[in-house]
Amino acid sequence: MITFLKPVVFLSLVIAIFSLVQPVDSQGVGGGDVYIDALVAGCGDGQIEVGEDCDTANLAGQNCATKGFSSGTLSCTASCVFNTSACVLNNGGSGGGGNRKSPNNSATVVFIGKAYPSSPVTILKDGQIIAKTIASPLANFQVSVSGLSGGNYLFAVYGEDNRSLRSAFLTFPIMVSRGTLTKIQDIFVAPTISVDKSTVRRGDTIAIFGQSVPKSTVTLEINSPQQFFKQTPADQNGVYLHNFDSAVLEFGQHTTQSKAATNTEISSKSLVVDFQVGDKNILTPISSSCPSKADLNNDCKVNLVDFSIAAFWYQRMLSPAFALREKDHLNGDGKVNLVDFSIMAFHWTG
Amino acid sequence: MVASSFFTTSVSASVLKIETDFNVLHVGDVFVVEVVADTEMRTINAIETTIMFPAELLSYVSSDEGDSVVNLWIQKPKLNGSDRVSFSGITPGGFTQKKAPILALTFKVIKEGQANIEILDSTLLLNDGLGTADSVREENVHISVLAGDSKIVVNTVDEEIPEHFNPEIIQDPDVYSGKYALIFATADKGSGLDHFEVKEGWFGSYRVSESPYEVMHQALDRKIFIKAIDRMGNVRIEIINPQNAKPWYKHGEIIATILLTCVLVLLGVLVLKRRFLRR
Repeated sequence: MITFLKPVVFLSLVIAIFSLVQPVDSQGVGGGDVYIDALVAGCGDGQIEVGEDCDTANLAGQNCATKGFSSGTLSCTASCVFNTSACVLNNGGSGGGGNRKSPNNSATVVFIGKAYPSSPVTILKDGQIIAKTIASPLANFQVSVSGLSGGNYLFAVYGEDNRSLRSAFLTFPIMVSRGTLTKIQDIFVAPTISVDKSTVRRGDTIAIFGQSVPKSTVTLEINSPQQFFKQTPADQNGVYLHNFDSAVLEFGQHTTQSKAATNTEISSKSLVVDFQVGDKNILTPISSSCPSKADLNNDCKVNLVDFSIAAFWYQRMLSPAFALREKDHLNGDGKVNLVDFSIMAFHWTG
Repeated sequence: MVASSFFTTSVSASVLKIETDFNVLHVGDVFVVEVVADTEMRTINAIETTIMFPAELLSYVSSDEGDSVVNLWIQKPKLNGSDRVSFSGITPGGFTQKKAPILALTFKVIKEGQANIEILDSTLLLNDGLGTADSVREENVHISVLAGDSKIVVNTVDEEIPEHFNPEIIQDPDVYSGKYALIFATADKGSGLDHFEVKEGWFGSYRVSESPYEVMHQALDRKIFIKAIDRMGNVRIEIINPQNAKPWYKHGEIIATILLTCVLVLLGVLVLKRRFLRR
């Protein structure tokens, strides 16, 4: 009998071992995973730390050949990312411009620009976070996203200032081809903007402030029946402040937004901030760094989770509990429709 | 300082239009029309519309949203009745483009006549945090369909699998009564994403599913496989490992498989032994 059981035991063991084999986390043919090179604080000390490709002259033993090129000189950017611009491919690649052959068949997109000093910068690909980095003390950042398939992408960049306030999105619709490297340079993230009073007594000053690139010139736009423009410098930390005399404004609702400029570049426009001119001053409540709307699960992010929760209730009769959340976080009309999703898209953080 | 041209505001309407390379087709032709948006320098973040076509002349083949600026679909493009395709979706952060690709629709010509493909009930919302509706001007397309030999055939080549994605387990009191739910989304830049399938555990079976998906095994003790399939059949599978993994000997299906195998092997051995003894 024991002799008969031997093959049974053996077979059982084989099945048990097979059942325990762990699969890889992602399967498929043709690759397509995205690899991120992002900046970290500590860049520039000559030591390669977590998140750094290289640091100053320390190239971690890499050269153009090991990066897939034929020849040339590999260097390290100020953001501790490999700079392959002086590497050469001998496979008939184009002789310059924004696109050139990448060492492998996937596409790479490099984002280079300015945000806020030593502050987080987030890159989104088609609405999903694909990279996060920290800008340098001079507000410069560089992020390389590789492993992309060919096709149309909508990339977006936003920054967070020293008060964790987010900038407006800067979006880039880009058609990338397989095997090419695309550089998006001169990105200039819009300034953040706040006001100290939600209502200002006519004739008093209202402080308009925020953060941008150090030593940049910030232009403020105050929208009322008549528009007013004021310029103010950002300090060495990129912080700007302008006390605007409300005497020139009519009673009622007004808005303000800002733009920043350096000697050679101009940023996109900031988000719009509302304020009222009335007969008494009301201070702006201390603003939370969490999105004011659309954060349905209160995790300080507006992303696929919130979208999924809203999508669950799309065109359904809301439960009393969810109706309260819809009122607090969306437009409060007692249903989930396209308008609610538009509000969500505006407050999106990824 | 008074107003200058530094900040300008446009007052015209966004344009939603249907474009095609053909204004004359023949019965049997398979062709593509593209739905594109010109935002007239405004930023749009949500769209909802319906495309109507003459079902007696054209047969709907498929839609391709792989290159769309719409990143998250509230309602994926689908045939609504026999003569219209409806869809809605959003673009986080919005898009500001002269020719923003929204969708490509493929049709087959089945009868001669005048085929008008038209946009109905379109809504474009501004990225202003309020969901303000933009005024929209629609541009339709008119195609003459003639008798004769078909010459136009659309061949879609897509050998790439859908993009990598990160499915997530969530628990929200207002989604499936607080039960664990699975959320997922991805895109396919080639032929467009067709559908998702979900399987729970090695011995489960894949079922066509949508996000958010109610997890069947709420103990979260099984691997969950999420399969994204594009329109050409290319597949990417992402896996969520169990949060509360049990050792293999506590999985009923594994034990059952082992026992069943043992019984079958024993029976086989007994049969062989009996035959051997008869000889």
